[in-house]
Amino acid sequence: MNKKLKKILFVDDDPDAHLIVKISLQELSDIELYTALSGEEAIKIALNTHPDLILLDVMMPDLDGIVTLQAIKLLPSLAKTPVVFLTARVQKNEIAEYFKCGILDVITKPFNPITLPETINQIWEKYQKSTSTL
Amino acid sequence: MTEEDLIKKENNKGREYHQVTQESSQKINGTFNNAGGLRVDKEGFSAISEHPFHVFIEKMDEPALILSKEGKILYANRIFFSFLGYSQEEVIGHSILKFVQEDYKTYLLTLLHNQEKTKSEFCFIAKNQKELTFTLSIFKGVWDSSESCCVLMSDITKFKRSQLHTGVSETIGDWIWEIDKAGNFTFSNQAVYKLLDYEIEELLGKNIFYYFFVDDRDVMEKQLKENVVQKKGWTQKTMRFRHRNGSERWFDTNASELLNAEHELLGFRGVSRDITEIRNLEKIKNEFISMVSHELRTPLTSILGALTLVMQRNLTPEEKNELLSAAQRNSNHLSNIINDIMDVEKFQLGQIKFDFKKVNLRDVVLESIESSDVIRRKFDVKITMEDDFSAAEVKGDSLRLIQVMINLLSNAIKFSPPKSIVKVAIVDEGMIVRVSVTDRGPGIMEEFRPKIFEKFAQADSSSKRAYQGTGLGLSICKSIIEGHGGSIHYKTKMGEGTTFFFELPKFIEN
Repeated sequence: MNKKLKKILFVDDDPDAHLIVKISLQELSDIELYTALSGEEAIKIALNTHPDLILLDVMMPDLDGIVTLQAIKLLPSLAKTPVVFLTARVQKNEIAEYFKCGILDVITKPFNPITLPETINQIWEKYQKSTSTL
Repeated sequence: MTEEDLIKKENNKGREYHQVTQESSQKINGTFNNAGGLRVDKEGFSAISEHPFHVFIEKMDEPALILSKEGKILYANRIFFSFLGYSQEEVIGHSILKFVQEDYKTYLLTLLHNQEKTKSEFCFIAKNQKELTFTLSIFKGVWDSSESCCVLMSDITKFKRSQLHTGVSETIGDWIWEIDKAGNFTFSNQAVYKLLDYEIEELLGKNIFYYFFVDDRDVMEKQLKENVVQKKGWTQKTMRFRHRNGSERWFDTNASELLNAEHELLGFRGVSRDITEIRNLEKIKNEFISMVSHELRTPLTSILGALTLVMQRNLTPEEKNELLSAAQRNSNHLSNIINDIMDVEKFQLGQIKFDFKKVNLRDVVLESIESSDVIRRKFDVKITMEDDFSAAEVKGDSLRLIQVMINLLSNAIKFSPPKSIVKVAIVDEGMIVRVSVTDRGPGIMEEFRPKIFEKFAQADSSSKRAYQGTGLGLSICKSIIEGHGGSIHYKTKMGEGTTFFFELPKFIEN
């Protein structure tokens, strides 16, 4: 039985990106969207809300996306939470590094806010299939 | 071989022979007889009777031949066989041309035909196909009552190779080296001193692994073992060597295998080209592309996202307003980034023209503070202004001076902790006016200070860097201030903050 995507945590240091994603994901019914402006804030919110999926920016002050991801993986209650990077840093070597760190997928900035909900659904379904076959 | 001429005289029945080394012009003249004829000894080599000449030629430590006028080999000493690896049957009765490299055949024939007393270099092909170089001293004589000639051969293969090493290899900047199959250096050209700061003498005999970084040794050892097993060199391998000062130097390395006459591996000969600078430039280029890509894509995400949502979604008027404001903010930000990139190019080409007028720096500062309000609110810092209320008038281009101030304020704000204060001060210093911007940020790292006003300078270009930007701002500030006849400086203390300040000459009427 596939788990339904209910809670998403979006992490980005740019408030304007929050606005775009918030309005974009209104299309996904019954979704609770949590937002954080930094890696540190993201970990606090994630520990409290236990999101199904984390959308994480890479380039952030203090804790960048990679360090935030590593911290999440070290926390037993969050370690299995799938993380998708939403980033403008998408050189070939950078993407390879992201996957080495254990991310589920990468969404490239700029993204289309109209198709973003569908993209997230597809990533979630793929993730569900991969976990159900384990 | 010694450097001195070795002259040996053998007097027998009035005949005189001179053995000649490669450096000597001494020649042998006379006749020689095959008094005893050929015989085969227990080792299977051609040997000859106890005739003094035969004894002499057989005792030589260099190859020697007796040829017919047509070049047929009538006699060869033991050394000839051991040098070239052929059997007696493959040599005796065969033309000398069979053993000489193609390019030398015509010349050798001419010499033999003319029976000239001469000494020349010839390249021979050993049985294992290896090329050996000899100096041939040819002189005519009589063998079995027939006109013939004696050929004394002096091996100069090593000499030629060392000539190649010391001659050619010292004229090029690449590092040429040889190692044995255990990895010990047996040769290096002088380039190693320039490239890695090691003397040749200290390198020779040491293992190549000693000059790798510890992290690389296992991989390199495994690879060298494979090369040894396969008796094969390698091409285009990137190798990291340790400079004497501990820094890493990267080399593109090609190496070929060195085999002996029995096809056994002796080691490898390599040419290593220093590509450290190329790698560094490549790294800087990639970091710049990554940084610019991020800096351009981030505002573009908000612009495209906002406009797409406004056009394609049913939104409330409030949502539309919020999105359009976001699009406008980010368009301005994107425009500034593109202007910075264009400005750098223009400054470099000297294409910037300033619109000089009487400008009050107080107005410039106030307008800049107002323009920085969005970023100030984002980073939650305050800006205060200290003003001595003197006439802060300079001759300048107000738009360009505002650009400088916005850049300095933007940097100070980005590096300030939340709730801290960025101080701006205008000070009358007599003939000049000084404007300073002080933050309470982390300070500028010492290693970054020398390049702070360089283009694309950023203390940290990784994704971990806390502060975004193209790294062009301070370079542009410097160009603008210097274009106004002023100067720009900074004071910094780690953990306490940084002050950037510029000084401009005061405006003087007429």
